[in-house]
Amino acid sequence: MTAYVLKRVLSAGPVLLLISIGVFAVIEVAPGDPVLRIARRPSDVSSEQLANLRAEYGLDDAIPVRYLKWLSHAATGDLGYSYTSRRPVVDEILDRLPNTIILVGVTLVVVVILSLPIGMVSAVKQYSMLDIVLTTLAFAGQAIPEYWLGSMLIWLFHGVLASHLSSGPLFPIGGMCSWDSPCNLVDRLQHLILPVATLAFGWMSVYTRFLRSSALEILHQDYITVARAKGLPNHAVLLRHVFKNAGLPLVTLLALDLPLILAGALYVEIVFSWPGVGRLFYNAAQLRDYPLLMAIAMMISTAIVLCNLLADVGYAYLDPRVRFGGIQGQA
Amino acid sequence: MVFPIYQDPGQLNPYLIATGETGLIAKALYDGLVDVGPDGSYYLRLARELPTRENGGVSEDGLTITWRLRDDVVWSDGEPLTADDVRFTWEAVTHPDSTAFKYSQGWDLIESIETPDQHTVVVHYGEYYYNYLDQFIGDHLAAILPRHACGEPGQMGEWACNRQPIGTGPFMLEEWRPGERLTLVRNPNYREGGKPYLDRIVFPIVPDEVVRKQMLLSGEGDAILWLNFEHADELEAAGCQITPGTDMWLLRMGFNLTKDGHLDVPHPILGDKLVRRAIQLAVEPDLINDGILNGRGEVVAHELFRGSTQCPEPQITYSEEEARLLLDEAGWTDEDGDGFRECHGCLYAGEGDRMRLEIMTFADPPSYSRMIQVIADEMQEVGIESRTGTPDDILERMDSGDYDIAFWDDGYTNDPLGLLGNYYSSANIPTNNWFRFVSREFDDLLAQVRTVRDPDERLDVYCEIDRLLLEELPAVWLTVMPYPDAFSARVQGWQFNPNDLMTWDVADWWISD
Repeated sequence: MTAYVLKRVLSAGPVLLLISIGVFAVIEVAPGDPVLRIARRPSDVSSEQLANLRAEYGLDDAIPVRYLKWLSHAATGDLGYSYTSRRPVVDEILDRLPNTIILVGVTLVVVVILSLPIGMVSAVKQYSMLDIVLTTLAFAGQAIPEYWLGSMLIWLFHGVLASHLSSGPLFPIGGMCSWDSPCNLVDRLQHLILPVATLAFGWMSVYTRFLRSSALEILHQDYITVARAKGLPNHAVLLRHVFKNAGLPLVTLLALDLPLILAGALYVEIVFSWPGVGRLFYNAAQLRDYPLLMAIAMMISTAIVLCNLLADVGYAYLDPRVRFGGIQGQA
Repeated sequence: MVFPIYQDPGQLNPYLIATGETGLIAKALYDGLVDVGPDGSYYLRLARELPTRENGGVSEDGLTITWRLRDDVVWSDGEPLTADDVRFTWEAVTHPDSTAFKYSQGWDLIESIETPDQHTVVVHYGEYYYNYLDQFIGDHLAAILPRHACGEPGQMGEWACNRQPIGTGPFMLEEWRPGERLTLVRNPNYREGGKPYLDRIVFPIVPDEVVRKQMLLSGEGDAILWLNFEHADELEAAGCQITPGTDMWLLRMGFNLTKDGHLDVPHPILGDKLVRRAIQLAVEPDLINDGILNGRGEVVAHELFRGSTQCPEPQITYSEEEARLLLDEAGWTDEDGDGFRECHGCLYAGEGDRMRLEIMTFADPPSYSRMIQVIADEMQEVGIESRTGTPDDILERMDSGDYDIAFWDDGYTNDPLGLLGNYYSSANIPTNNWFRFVSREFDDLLAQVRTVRDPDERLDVYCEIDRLLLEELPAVWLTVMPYPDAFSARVQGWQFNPNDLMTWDVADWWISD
């Protein structure tokens, strides 16, 4: 077991290295020149300034040289400076990361808490009116783009309902806190509701459909019939046998979605003026802020690799076939 | 007051990044020595008087300019403003390692700056520079920076004051929450007693323009910089105050005069002046201004149309018929009857080659794409097959000469010397002179304009340049791009200045109940 875990951990290093080469190459190959992006109008920059900027950013070197430089710095924890703000990219990311973790983390909790009962009810009451309504909502969740839903929610809860139900808007239009009051918990929660609802709607549809189909499959298994036949009450069958087994694959799904907590949610962050990592990445891409792009991409990649690693190790722990098969296969 | 802005400015050194957000906020934090007011004339900021020959500010040979600073100005941290700060700004901007924007042209002409006392700046020019008043102008983004709060002149990128600005302006930075908002509060050390009237301006970062508009409609926001003109009518109807927006950004189609950027190989289609003239006559700017800009622009068909260098508006009779005749004459005719012309005896393309051009522009603002569609339609009408696109690497393609026609806007505040030098000087190929326009006559006139001292004579040279550009047509000028600003109904005291950003008079703003 230890050998297996060690092997998986060691293989993560080369994987990350390959990813860094890939990401660096993609960023370089993509059209666009960072020094041309700092001006609003083309004629704002002089050729002298461009040359100095290229030198300062180290863009005069060949691409492989630049990659090796980046790698050697990154190995010591120095991920460089943002071209636009001229601050260390680590600071830039750390400024935004807590905001993104709050937004996506809360959403993920809401998604899990709501998806489980909804998915189960949908399966147990298959083809009922309730199931049809929930299924329709799930498809809508998959089909409606976040930016549209977000704008509609703002229109409804900030524009329309405000004027009819209360003196002020029902929910704030965006941001993490009010501009004019201390940023307390109630204020923060109010600001979270609409963006979380927007983000959760689409996300939940995946989870509920997943849970519904796996629960349906289990409901038709023989051991469920046996459980019912031996006289177990319905709720015990559902909770102890159906839910437990149907919910397990969801853990995998969850583990794979976990890195999204770091990656942020671009459209929701834009519509709701949320200062998260998604927007930071998007702006960095627009401005060709290479060091910032690299750092965010590598942060997310590392998270994905780590989560996969955790999932693999977890599986090995739960299922001996994985670890023995793995070792024998390599021998 | 709440002023939602599009993006986090990243940093607040106006010499390092030329976004509207940085300029907007820097304008409230910093000052130049002088600035340009609504009527186009200079007014004083940190200077006590405009240097003139009469007050001894301009030497007999015009090479030495003496600026006298106000003696009552302190930085927001309480340190006094001194002449050395002016010298520091010049040192930093002109440092060999500098990555700074040089908004005015004459920086390199300055040989030295002396500071005989705390409030006197003596600028020695190596050669005569007409626009010496522009040199330390606060116009748009440039400003005087404090030596004590910034850093070494050669390391502007790492200065502390880039994110913790210390300025002489009416406001100072209180808080900066990255990506979320910036908060400015009144500078207690501001030189004009009682001003600014506002206690605090919050700049929340709101990337979605629709949301910014909604904030104004619901009373949660008070101002928008460079409003999308499509939102102007709605906001106006809701009682908001809309400025006309500066008239300085002129939309233009720039032609690539060369094939793939090779100066000795003319562009197969656009290398011929007759073709460029035909396109000019075929593309009617009214269709763009009325059809897409809701009439908020203004048709202008030449480069030097405003400021102190306004030359006569050319009389152009737009006519498809005339355009077709010119194309026929240029050897581009449609002999296979498919509606598009081919080369039959044209100057630079192969016999039988199709007349096909790509018009490209920037993806933002989105109205650009609709405008080039109108242009393409008008060109198709006269038999030029025209495609449109918004390539992501548009600037790189312009740099390398891999394009036909590009569409964007640009302009000048008061004196067009910088704009003309950037775009049309043969010394500036390919940086900015993407047309690859090479004209000895133009270069000579531009050199002349730099040394002429008599204003009338200078205007004559400028208008000669304007005429030459209209004759050679490296570009076709169409209409002013409207960038109106918006204020909520409760913001008072502001004045529209077509020559500056909307925060130019932020010290005078106040909020009515």
